[in-house]
Amino acid sequence: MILNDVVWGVVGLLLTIMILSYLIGDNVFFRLAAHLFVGLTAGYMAVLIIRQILVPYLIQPLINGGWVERLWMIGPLALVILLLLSQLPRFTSLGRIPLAYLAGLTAAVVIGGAVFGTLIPQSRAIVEAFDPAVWQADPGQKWFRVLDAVVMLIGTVGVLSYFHFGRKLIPRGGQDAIKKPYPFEVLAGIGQVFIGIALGAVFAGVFSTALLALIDRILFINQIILRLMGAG
Amino acid sequence: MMSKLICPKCSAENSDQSTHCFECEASLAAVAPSDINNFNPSEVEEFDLMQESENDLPGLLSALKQNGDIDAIDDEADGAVEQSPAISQENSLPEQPGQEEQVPDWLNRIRQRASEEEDSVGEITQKISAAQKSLEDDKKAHQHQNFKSWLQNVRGLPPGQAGNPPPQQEDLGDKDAQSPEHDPDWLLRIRKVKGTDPEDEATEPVSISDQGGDSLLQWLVALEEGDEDSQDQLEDTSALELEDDQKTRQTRIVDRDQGSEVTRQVRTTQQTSSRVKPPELHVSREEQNQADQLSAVIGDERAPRPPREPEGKSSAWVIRLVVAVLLITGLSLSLFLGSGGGVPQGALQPHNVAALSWAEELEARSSLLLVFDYQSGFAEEISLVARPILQAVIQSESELSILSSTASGVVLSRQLLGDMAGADGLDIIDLGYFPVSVYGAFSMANRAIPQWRFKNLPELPNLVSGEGFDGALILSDRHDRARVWVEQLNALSPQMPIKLLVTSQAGPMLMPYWEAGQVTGMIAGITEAAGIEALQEDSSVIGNRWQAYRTGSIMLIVVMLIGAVFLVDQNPEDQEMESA
Repeated sequence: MILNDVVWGVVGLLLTIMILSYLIGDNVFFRLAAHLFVGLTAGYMAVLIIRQILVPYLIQPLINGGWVERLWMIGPLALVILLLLSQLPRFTSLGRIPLAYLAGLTAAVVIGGAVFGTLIPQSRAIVEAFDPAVWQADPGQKWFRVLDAVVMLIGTVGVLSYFHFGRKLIPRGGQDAIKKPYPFEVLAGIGQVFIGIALGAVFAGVFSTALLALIDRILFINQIILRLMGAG
Repeated sequence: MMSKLICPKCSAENSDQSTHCFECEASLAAVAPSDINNFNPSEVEEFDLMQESENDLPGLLSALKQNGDIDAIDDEADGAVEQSPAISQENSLPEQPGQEEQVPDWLNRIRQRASEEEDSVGEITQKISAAQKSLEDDKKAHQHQNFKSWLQNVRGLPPGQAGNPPPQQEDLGDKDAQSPEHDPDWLLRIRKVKGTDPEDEATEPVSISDQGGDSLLQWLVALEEGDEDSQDQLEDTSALELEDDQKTRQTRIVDRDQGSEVTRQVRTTQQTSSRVKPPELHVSREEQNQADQLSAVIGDERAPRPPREPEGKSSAWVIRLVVAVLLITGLSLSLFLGSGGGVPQGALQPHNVAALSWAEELEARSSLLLVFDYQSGFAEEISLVARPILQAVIQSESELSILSSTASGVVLSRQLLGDMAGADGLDIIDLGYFPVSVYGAFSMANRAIPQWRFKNLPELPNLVSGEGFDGALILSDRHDRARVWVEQLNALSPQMPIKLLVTSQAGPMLMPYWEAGQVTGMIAGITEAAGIEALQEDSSVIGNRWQAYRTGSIMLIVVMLIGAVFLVDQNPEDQEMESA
């Protein structure tokens, strides 16, 4: 068991160094590690899907299920076959049917989730922020709550205004023809500030996560070296 | 004596005072007046009617095709094309009385339809019948017994070019009768209008196309043999004419002597074609432009260029390497030589406190759902973030249902729980790999018809919508995937508390869900995890990492500032645009 850990540890160490070799530019070691990663991921995904999706939810019902269950499986099976046939140049057009089904289903799920799980609850949260009962819940932070609600409202309206792509009904000509109406121009400027802050926060998060990943790799390398030296 | 001006363009008659044709408005200034008395109007009509009949033929064939008769016609036509010149000649001759029984079925159907309908097709067919009848009566006439030779004569072609036997001498007289001097005036005018000169045609050498057979084949043979003379001659006619000559033509002619209009059906195969021309190459303007562009590109590619300089790439990787070595060195020093202190205390956010208090107050034997939705590269950060919450959950001896919505989540869940102290005695239900998009689809279906319970399908939708869980913990490295889980679970079971244990990069975009109350607790990133560890007065896990994290952050901020001030990479195109 210990030998097994050491062997895999060394393999992990070598792969880590090969990936880090990209610091000196694209090279064969980096490409080898990248190809290895892509190939392993694809193989692992294939095995995982076969074992955890296709076998329990498609193959077993077809083999062991009753006729009702088998009838239920005809649709998915037909879609699978059409998708496989689409890999042949002669039957490429058949792949549109399962892809259209997937696209429609995904769109329905995403739109439904976005509207009922994000848009409506978020809008309600902004409205409720102006509820005086919320302000009075903590008398010591009343003005902070009010300020928070106002900033939230201005930020929301400003960001939405930034994505307003209309223009003036009666432009005066020149550059004025492509400008938004004046209220939208002002709010869009405010929204731009909020968007910048949000993107900055996202970048800081990505930066932080990447730095932690690097720290983790340094710890891993140190651990493997210590183990190889017999000190770990 | 009445003079008329014959339009050279459309052959219409105009008065001698006209300056432009009343039909096509072509100029008549250069046209000499013609004596109308010497000009038989039926001749002009003959000329026009021939074209008219050709225009009517597609309509006739189209109508027959709709009735399913076209196949018979095609068969007949194909058979006619494949016939020998002798047969073609025979077909071109007027039918003999005894041959009436040999009339093909399609022609009988045409006649029958013509007798019933008075459309253009019927009119043509009636004229065909009338022509046949008239020809039988006129059989004894001395003119135009050989219709084909007469037709060639009309076109101003020498009989040898038809590929058929020469016309009978008794029909057309001696050879002198065929000379242009003996042709009638109207025929000369038509030839003049069409621009054909029988003398020129007669002097042309006999080409391979004159020898009968398939003209296309002859053309290819001529090309292969490199017969220059043949090719020169072939260039005089168009490819369209080649196709037309291979089809059966129907020509209406007018018998001058009888003064009656006579229609004959004439099969003119390619052998009757006088001239064959190779297909012309038509190049549109767009194609010409594309060819020009391609030529320009090729020329540009072949043009000599000065050797490109490396643009300082050698220094770029050195800078990168130096920065990376400095960063790794700094991180290593902080990790292994640091004191491990300095974890921020009192920096807990409300959503951190909510998550922690929920875990600590969890009732024993609670049923929880754990969603593993992160990649292996973020396993360390997720482990730091989830550790305090998972320790509290394990202590409550809750029943855990594990679900992976990423492929690596199956392995990472075992790794994370295996590292936890006391996790061996946990009651764990592994729901396996279950993509979040599939979960959304099942959730939607379950919501649409709650009575449905899918068999042999993932248990999760039924579990969530049925008895449900006492809480859900979502461990994710991406805000969009975590958001989908929040949306679906919140809509499916609004009362179920949802806690998020996410990375730093996912945290900011998920805060609105905490503000809206859709998420009842959240820990994001090492900063918040360090705050919880400080609250628990245990800095053994995060302590050194936190120091290294701070060191690395400062170093990278400095590097970014230096890069922004001194090493802004501007390519020459941007500089040109700015200068412009």
